[in-house]
Amino acid sequence: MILAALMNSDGTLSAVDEAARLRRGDPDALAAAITRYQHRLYRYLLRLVADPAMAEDLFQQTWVRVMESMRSYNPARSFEAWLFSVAHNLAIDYLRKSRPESLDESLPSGQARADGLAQSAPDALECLLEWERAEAVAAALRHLPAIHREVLTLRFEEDLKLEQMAEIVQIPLSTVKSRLRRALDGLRDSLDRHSLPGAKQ
Amino acid sequence: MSEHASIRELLSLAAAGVLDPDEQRRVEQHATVCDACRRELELWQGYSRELVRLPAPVAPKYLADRTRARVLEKRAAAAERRWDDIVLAVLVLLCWTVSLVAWVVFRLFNGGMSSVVESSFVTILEWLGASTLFAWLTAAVAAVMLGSRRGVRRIV
Repeated sequence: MILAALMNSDGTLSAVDEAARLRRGDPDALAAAITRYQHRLYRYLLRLVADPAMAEDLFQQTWVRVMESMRSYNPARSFEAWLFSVAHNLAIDYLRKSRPESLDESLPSGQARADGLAQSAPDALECLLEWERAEAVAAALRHLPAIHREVLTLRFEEDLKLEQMAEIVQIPLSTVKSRLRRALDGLRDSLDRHSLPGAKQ
Repeated sequence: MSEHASIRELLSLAAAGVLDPDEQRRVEQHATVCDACRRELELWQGYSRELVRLPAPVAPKYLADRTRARVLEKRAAAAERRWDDIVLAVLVLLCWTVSLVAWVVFRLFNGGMSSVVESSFVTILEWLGASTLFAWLTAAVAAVMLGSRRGVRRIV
């Protein structure tokens, strides 16, 4: 009965049990946790710093920091959100030191998105083949400031709710919402200017 | 701000699925009667779909193993540092104990039990200070020697 309570529906041990094992420094629990989150955490860091080598280093630093801080981790909190917030802090520290301009929130054009909305063609993306669209969006994403790439990847690739995003990025809910809106505006602006030159015709 | 203008500001977030249910309902209802907003909403929904379908980068195969090794190495180093701290604390205590015992033995052999009992607090402090200084100097020399040995080992 107790064991059943510790198990999730898919048969894996509960997050509380996993956290306890990590706190004891269990190498198997560590290996399992790293394997489980490796692709998602790596993708998040890569989107944030846009540099594969740095993303790998930050990935390793994140797990080192997680194991060092495991005693201060509150099991009532989501482990996933905590893990990503540790990664967020390390990545932002790195960006602040190496590329402070990459954290700039202003749109590349210096204009508010609303200025260009009326002129945008409603079916601009429909003119492109699917793979071209994906490539165009990926390229546009690379033109955005890091903090905008971050909220977009958390929302659309990690499929997180605003509350979870706020916990990871450590800003108020209303700020996450406005940042997400600016990020989407920036993405569209970037698509119009870089990838879809005819979009504003 | 008109209803149309306020709805227009919500379209991107509606397509992103982050509005609360009331706001979402407002946007959807407005989109059924406003062609411009409906087209705009569809466009934003297209962007959202593309973001969801972005090619997902995959972590390199070696990354998990390297990370695990790095974490375990750091933990081992931290454990070694903790052990070094404990050894140092024990050695300091031992050093002080030996100093005090040596002082008592020295006084016993030179003046008998009475010289130990009648000795002043200042005399004991002087002895303790001198022996501590000697012990720290010895420890500093040992630390320098150990440090240089580790440095050589790393270079090799």
